[in-house]
Amino acid sequence: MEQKAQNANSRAQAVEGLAKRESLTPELDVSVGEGRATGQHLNKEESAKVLKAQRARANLMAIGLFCLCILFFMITIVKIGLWG
Amino acid sequence: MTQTVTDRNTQSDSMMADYAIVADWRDFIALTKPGVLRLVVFTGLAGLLAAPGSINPIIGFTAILCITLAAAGAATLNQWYEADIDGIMKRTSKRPLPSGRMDRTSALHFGIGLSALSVFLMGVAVNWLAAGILAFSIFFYAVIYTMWLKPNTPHNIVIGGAAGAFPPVIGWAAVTGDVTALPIILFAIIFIWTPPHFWALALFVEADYSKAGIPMLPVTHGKAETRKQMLGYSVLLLLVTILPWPLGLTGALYGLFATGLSAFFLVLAVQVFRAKQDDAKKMRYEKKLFAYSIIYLFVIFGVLVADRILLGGA
Repeated sequence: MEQKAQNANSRAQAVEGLAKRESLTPELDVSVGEGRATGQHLNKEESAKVLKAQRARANLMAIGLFCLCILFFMITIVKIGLWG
Repeated sequence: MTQTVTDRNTQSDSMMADYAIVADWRDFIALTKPGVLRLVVFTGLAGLLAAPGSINPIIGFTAILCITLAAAGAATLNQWYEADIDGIMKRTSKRPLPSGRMDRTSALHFGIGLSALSVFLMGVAVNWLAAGILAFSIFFYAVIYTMWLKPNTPHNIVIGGAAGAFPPVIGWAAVTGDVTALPIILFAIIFIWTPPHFWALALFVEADYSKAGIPMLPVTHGKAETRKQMLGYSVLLLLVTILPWPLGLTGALYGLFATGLSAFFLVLAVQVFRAKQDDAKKMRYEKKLFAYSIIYLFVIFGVLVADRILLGGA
């Protein structure tokens, strides 16, 4: 019962948030995969938040790929018998 | 049950689609269940260090990295599939998917990506036996346990425990390229340790499992039966944990520690068996056993490595 009320409450909050967003002047049209229904616009604050999250993820992905490259290089060194 | 889960998945998808935005990188970390990863990585490392022979440090590091990535991928796939159930349970409702901080497709791609990378890297850099066991462990956890056993049988955690028992075998196989008696016993230790560990938790969050419709043993057979089963598994755990010593696979250091630690595990299980407490807030013996069981596994595997390497126990 309590869970249902919580679900209804969060649903109502989400709908309210969307209604507010739609009333704002569109600053940037960012459609994010399945995470947001297409055609909805973000205000300045939300755009900045999305870009910040995307930048952080891109940076981490770059670091991860760089480390993987180094690891592959070192594995190659070991496999061709230059180390150990 | 499967149909119900599918229906709920569809519902939660449409609900989340409304307000989820670009997920923060911390949410991706949360998907991998970092708390569980620590134990998986540690037991994998213990298997690798306890194995006879040597391994190049880079290859050894790669093997442990692959075990970590595989466990992270399997945990992500688990959270992807159980997003609806997690939303119902208080303990898991704050996770990225049920709280709507991330969309399910991103989680699915992340989980498949990590799993595929781990198996490929293990095969190419280490050996294909270790990669094969790694691939099977991911499949076992994400498909056999998460999708089939967990929603359908109270024996879910008994059989599903095998998924978490593979890391020391993989670590061992990474060094030796084969699987002998000791890694099988290490597998058995984690396999038998899992039911009392998980049921201790299930006893004090039983209401959550009941609400989510997951047939955990306390939900289907009651708390008294669960406590009885926990005691039985604890006796079995004592016997299996000591086994490497009389078989000559470890020395006295491991044997004495294993006996003492497992005996204390059994004492806590007896306390749980005799407690007969039904109020989740007052289950101090169950909480104590749950906390101790984590420390227990860390120490058992730590002492095993110390015995095999530092003191040449084998």
